[in-house]
Amino acid sequence: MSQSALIKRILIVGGGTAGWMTAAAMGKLLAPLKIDVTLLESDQIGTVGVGEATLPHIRFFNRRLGIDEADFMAQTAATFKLGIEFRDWARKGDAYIHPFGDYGRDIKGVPFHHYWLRLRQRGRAWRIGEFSAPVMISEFGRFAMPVEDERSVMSSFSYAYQFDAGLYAKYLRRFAEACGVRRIEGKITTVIQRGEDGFIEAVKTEDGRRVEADLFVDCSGFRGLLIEQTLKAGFEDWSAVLPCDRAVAVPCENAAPSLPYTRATARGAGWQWRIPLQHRVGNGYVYCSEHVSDDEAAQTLMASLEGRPRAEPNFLRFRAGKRRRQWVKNCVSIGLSSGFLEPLESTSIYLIQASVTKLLELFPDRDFRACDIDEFNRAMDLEYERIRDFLILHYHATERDDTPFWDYVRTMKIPDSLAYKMTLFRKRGVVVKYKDGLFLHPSWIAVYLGQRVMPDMYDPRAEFIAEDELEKTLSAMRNLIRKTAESLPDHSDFIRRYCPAPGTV
Amino acid sequence: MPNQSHGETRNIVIIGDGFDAWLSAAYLTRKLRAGYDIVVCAPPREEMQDHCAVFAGPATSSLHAELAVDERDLLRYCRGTFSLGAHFLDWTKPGKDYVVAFGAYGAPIETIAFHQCWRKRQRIVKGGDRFDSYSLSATAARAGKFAHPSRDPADIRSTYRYGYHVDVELYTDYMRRYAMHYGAKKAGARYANALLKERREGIDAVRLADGEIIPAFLALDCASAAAPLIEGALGATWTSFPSPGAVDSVITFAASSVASPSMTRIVAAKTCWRMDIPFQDGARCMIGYDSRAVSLDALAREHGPLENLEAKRIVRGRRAPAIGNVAALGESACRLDPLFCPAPATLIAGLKTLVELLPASQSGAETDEYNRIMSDVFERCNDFVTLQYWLAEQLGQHAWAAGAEKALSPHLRRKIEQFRSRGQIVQFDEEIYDQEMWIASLLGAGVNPERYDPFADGLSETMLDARLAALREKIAETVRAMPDQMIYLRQARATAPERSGS
Repeated sequence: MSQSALIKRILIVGGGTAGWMTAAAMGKLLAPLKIDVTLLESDQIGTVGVGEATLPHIRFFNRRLGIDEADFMAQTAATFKLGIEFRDWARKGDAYIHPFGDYGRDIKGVPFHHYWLRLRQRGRAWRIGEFSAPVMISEFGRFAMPVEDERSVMSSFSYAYQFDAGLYAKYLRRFAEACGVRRIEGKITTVIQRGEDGFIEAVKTEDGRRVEADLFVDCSGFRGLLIEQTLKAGFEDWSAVLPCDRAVAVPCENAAPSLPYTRATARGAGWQWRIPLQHRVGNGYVYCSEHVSDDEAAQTLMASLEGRPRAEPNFLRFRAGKRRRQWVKNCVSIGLSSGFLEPLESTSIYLIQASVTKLLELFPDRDFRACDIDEFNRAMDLEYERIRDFLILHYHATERDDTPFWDYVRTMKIPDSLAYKMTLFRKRGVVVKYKDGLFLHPSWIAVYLGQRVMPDMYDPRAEFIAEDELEKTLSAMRNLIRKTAESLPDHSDFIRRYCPAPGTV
Repeated sequence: MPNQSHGETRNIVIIGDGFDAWLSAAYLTRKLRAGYDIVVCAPPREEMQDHCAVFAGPATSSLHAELAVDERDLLRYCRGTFSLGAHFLDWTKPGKDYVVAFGAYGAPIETIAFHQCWRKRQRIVKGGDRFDSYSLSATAARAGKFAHPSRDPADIRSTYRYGYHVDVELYTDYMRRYAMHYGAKKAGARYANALLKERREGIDAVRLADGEIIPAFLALDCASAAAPLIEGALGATWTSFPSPGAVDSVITFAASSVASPSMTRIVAAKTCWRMDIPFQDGARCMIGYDSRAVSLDALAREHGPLENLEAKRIVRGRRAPAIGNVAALGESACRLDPLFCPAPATLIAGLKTLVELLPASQSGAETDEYNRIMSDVFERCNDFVTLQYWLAEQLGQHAWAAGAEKALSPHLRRKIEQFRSRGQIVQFDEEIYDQEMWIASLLGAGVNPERYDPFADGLSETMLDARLAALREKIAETVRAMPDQMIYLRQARATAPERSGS
């Protein structure tokens, strides 16, 4: 086969975060291939505006696109994010931060947390978070850029952003259009499939236009206009292990200077997010409709706002799970059309990015080979499943029994893959390693320990250092991290200097 | 929480007396300092290892670095050389050759993988240069040169790694002395039997032939194929790997030197494959053949006088890597086809995994995880060797490789399919061989992906030409400045004294 069967036209259906992220990446990266990229959206259809809070991976995405960080942050009223604070999860009154960075340093090839466990067995009550630069920087409400010099504790972390998803979509739209992506306004009425093989040939809009393409990217949201309604990809339902199925969201005014982390507070039938932006705070209650009504949920949310609400509460419905096949024939689903995992670990935008990256890696020809589609679906299934397990851990590893919701998640049957991981950590403090998958060693440690999954045993090699020497080393580490964190500028001052949003200064 | 510190010393009993046993003893003696005694017991019977010369890759050199083994001393003792890879000849076509080297092949051009750029250019110029001419290690290996890699990432000499060619007996002897120097003990008598825990979930102790009983906190079966512990005492069952072709036997013998001391030479002949592992003086040769199709006499006519040779059957398969507190390491756990000599890398993977999962909990969780990881390691390693047979079958049409296609695992099938389709290598969770080695094998052999990365079309052809020419020139120039390996070894005082009487 020659390279000439290259895709010539791509149609992205839907213009939310997923649509515009896909458009921006394709517009920029496919430019040398002279592929026509079009995005079709309707102003009549609202977008969910997923995400607001992101993971450090987005920085690679931005860098690949050549996006200027300070400009991007100013335009989206963004703040820095060093992790997520979980409140009241294992027990009411508990709090821990899942940071974007390492705990301590490995000593003689043995992961740090084993040494921490050893001293804890001897009665040392240091929190593991005190050995994490991003945790301490978060607690002090500070921020500075990480450095590359591996000797510095400032090299031990990464960061992400918290931004206004609506502004982000607009920012990416400008970016994508500047790269030559064409936007069409219109509402799809019909999807036309090829008779011989069922491939999508074109879509028709309300005003009678017919838009053809070789490759269709379904970013139409939950309903999956192309991938599900047309191509019947099927949905794998995970609501038995992730029972939250609704959310109510509302922005409010800032009550205090913005903090460099997102907060997730456990509630009676789910959890509530708090995402501090430059100009407002995003809030939302993710809940299980079986255990709480929409009205009650809205009341709980509104009663806990720190400032005046800036909009009416917005209700969302969803179901945890993923499309059985994320790519079918000549249609790839990206974003909510590909599946839904609640935003507990800010994975929505990451999953969009992973899909776009994988699609570009396996960029098809017009003959759409089974092996490209197969490999894409295998890789994305793995992403989804490994994130799913990590999310379930937050709910399942709890001592809470104060509501029927917590009773359910505490006692529900979890996937074997997660049960296996938890046993290994509980018995021996070992985190199961894998090559592909989003959350790495430090993330699992943060959530295991934060959820009170405490290992019975640590690595016996952690005994190879004399106890007083170990105390001294860890104590010095802890002091250094605290001192470094304290010496950094305030997060909000840093933002004001680096990337003030128009109208906030 | 109970206090975990145990105070008393724990025995790690190793059953075996060969390469697997003594490399394990050397590693564990250094890595597990306080609180563990390493005791090595010879197995009931002398057991031959499958391999008698080792062509070892970068896993071994990094292990040596970790153990602070003095390489010069080691090579002097073993009469060994540094290895930069393997040279395949006539494997896929008479006269065609390529090097599968330890190290980078080119470097990405504007974030596009180098081999994709190379493929694009090959399309334009219709063939031309060899893929391995963009690898510093392959080029140096062909020239018989060697120098240690640079630590400066900006230096092109930092783009490769290396291994060794050593005689197994001498290497084992060296590791025995090393292990005992650092405190490993040799038991006074051979292993006789094991005292089992209830329900055969591991063992409490081993009994020696003289009646002595040694309690075992952990026991390692390093006794090669006989596997007296994992199979003999604990009944681990054997699972065969499908045979990747018709080769069922090997012979090994001493041979004269090959052209380059810096790489193992692997040649496909009509009736067999032949692997020559170069030492400082001469080489060790191994021939793999189909005993049903060719006689030893016929091989002798083709490969020189092969007197008093004993053919050994090739056995391919594996057992449960661990049961309770007993782990099998090396050939007792997994016997792979000897082609490309995958044994040292799997042994080292086992040792590293074992140390990370050193039992502490008595829950069996460590054993489960060890088994999960090592099963994957064995399968992926077997995939790599199977690939070499598959290439010989598909492209070389060698009768001895017939049937390799049927032996492909689903993972290897996917790897080949993805590579053929677009030149990408799918890597799974536990891989021993890095992407570059898979790519070097496939592209070197002439499996040309049907498509290359479409983004490579965004690169201008003149720019690509200039970049590739510059890289080739840089590599050639760097290799010219490298010393011949034998001179390098002599200058480092790593050469063995002349053998007396020869």
